[in-house]
Amino acid sequence: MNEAIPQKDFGDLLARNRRKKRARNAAVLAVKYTVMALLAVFLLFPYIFMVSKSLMDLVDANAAVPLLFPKSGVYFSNYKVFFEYWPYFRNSLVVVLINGVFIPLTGFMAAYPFARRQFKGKKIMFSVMMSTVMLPGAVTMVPTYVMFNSFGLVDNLASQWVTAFFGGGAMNIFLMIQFLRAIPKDYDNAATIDGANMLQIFLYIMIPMCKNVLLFIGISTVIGRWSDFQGPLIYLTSLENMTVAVAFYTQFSSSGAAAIFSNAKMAMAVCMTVLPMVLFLIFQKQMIGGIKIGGLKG
Amino acid sequence: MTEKVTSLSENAQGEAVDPGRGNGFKKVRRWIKKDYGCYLFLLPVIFGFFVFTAYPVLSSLLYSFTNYNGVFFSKFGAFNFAQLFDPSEFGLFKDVAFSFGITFLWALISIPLGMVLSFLVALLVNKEVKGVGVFRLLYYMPTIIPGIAISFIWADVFREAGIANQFLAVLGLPSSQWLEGENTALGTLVLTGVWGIGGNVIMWLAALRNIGPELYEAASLDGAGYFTKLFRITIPMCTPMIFYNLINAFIAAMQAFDVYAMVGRGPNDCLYFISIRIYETAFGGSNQYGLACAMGWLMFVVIAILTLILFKTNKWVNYGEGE
Repeated sequence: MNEAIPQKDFGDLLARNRRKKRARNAAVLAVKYTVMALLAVFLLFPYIFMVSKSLMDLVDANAAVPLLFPKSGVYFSNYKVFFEYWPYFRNSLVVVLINGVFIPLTGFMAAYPFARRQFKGKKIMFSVMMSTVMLPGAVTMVPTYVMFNSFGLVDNLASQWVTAFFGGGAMNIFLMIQFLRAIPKDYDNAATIDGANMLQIFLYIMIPMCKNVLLFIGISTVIGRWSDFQGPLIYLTSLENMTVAVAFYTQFSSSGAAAIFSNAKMAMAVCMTVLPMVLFLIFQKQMIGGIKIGGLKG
Repeated sequence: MTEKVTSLSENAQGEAVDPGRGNGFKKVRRWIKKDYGCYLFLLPVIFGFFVFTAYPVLSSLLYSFTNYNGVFFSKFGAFNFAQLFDPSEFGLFKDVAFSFGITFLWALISIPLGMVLSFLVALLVNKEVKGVGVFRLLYYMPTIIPGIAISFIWADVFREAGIANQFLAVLGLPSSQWLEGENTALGTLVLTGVWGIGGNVIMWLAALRNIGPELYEAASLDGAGYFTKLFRITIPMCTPMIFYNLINAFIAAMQAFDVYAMVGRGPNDCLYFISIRIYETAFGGSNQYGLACAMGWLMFVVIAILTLILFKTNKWVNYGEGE
């Protein structure tokens, strides 16, 4: 009986302690959520600014005291730039579609023998391929331009997609090699015993097993090419051949014809952002997985 | 393809010494039969390598010793390189050194800053609490805005008469020239880079996830606090990821071009990055293709040397035991 009282006291103490701890945890959590929310507002500021300004009329957009939100009403009419610039959006779609399909495909074709086959000259070919990573684009920029010029590819949309059929760069191929190496050798052996040839193994085993990395490379190619600015700026000179990024730049930069329409400029920015954003949201899992693996293989 | 050809000829030569020549042909045939599938798969990349890498690299080397302008050349020699290293007023040394310097300075400030900030953000959203996934996603969103669009946004926000100054005015702070001032443009550019930390946050989160919980448990048993664990376990375990991303970010930053859409060369050419200079040398109207190629090679050498220095000083990277 004597022991019961201190035991009860002890239990009380524990309970009080637990309650205190829970209160502290709740406080920490509240602070955390506040910080996370503030950070989100800060980081999303470009979206807020862009969308808000795209809905202003010209008076609000060019007001002497800049406004964050529309003052004299919301105007969706700025979004008619999308229809005005549709030809350039179409050009860009052609470019990103061809690149986004064929770069992962031809790159994967090269990655497959490197990762899972033995053949003469594999080592040297692999090191030659990897050494091209070191090469800045500025080195090959001029001769490539001269070569494209002699093939009539300057001021031709084809200049933006002819390279899609040749693997799309060593880094892509290297990433795919990493994936392919992780697949157990038994798959090849079993398929070979069943009489499958190399092409069948490639088509029916390797492609389905690596579809996430193929999707990642495809989607990031699409997003990258959609935003690409330097390539089209060099190669596409007349307006009707331009991709949306350069058409947007030439028309709306400070020397462009549409420069004063800062509201239409932001509407155009919103239109350009929609495709990458939607693709990223749909393929979130593959994209984040790819970024992680791309960043960790050091 | 050449690999195939050289190996073929090697084989044939090797067999020529041997008495049994037919045997050698059989060997070659067997070898082609065994490997031709692999070469067929590699064909597009091999072709692409020769046409879009090997040939341009060799031509670029050749051009860099000429005054080629796209039509003809009349001089051959190392004069482009001489001009790049000529510090007198006729030479380009000062201009080119400035371009390399400003690009390097920008990389030197913005990359470590981005690394540290993204680490802090990753620590904030690392623990699984309700809704944290949404925040991670939101933090990544600014990096998805296409370069040209975000350039126009920042050019508008950080005008002298822009909303950034309006914001400072509301807070009662003095205004700044932001992108339009020679002394503030680089700082503003670094600031706009802060919105691009989302990719690094994902990388940090993946690296944090890779650290085994047993390390933290052992440290807790030894009485280690939060910061001890942070500096003795978390950061050392992440150093391979940090190093790999530093190298990649550095090589990319030295070639940065997209700032051209935001401010061109910057007020009074203060943001005349080396990539922009090479672009303007080649395609800015004067068609100095030879000179542009020489600059490209100089850029290659500078990047290679700086990367080598990074690799030589990577004692701080923890590759685990046994490696």
